[in-house]
Amino acid sequence: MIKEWTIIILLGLGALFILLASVGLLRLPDIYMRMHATTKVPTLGIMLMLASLCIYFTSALTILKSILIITFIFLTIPVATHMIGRSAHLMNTKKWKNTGRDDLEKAQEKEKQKTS
Amino acid sequence: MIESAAYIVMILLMVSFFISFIRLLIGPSLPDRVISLDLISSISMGIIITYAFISKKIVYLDTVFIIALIIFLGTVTIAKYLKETKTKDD
Amino acid sequence: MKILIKIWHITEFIFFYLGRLISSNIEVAIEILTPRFRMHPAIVEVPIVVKSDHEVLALVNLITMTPGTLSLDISDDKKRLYVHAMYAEDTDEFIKDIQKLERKIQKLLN
Repeated sequence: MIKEWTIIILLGLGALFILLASVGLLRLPDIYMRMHATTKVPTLGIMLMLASLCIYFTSALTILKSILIITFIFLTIPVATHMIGRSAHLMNTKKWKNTGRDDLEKAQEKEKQKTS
Repeated sequence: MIESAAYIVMILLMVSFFISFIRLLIGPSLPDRVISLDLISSISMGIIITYAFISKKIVYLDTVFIIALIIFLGTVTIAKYLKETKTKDD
Repeated sequence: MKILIKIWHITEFIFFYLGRLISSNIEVAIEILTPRFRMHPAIVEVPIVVKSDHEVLALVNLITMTPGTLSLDISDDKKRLYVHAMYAEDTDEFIKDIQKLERKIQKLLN
């Protein structure tokens, strides 16, 4: 009984987090903010769903595979976001109007002058 | 019990798929579209995990692993491509 | 004995990482669900001291997963990191926070 409810709550929480990420993707004002929403939130969502899967099929192989998947996601999603963020900044994507200082802009200007 | 919960979760995931698809359509710049594709891959991982609950088969976990592998390669390739074209322009 | 201390450090680090991940999720959730945005984003240059590739990878992962920060670029000589922060009214405080993370990573990987 308790096991069943734990599975349902973990699965539902994971799905709610993913729904939250997509609402954030639609609502937040510029691309950097959207990247905040799409890196942190789905990682936790997938993690919770895999945890509930591990409780449902209690076998060593499932747990091993889930740990592999989670480790892989944790390693790759920040790297992918890092690269997309850098190219977005190189493309001069529009920033939100309240954005404060931008140190990266000066650095990239300097680099361009050096290469040309 | 768990099956009916899994169906409700499936509906939630479909709604979030639809919402991120809207961002894929209207996204003002190309990186916006790329990150929305990234989120769609996460959602499809969630859908496959939920389907493993409904069908009671554990084989689907391998599919999740493959999706996690391939999407990383895709995103990195697109980022590299954007950077190359940008530096070639000016 | 050394191995035991190492394992203790690693488990401590994993729990620290999970705690940071959950708190950052709650922060983003509050930001998304409240109707008015109250953030002051900025892109800040942070000097770092870690040298090897492993340490830089761990630092970038940790910065991206911690609340309110997202690493965007690293300079060619691996000495400066450019971080996008959601709440950056106080830049010095923020840089100190990242240096704390750096010390933690050095303790773990040495």
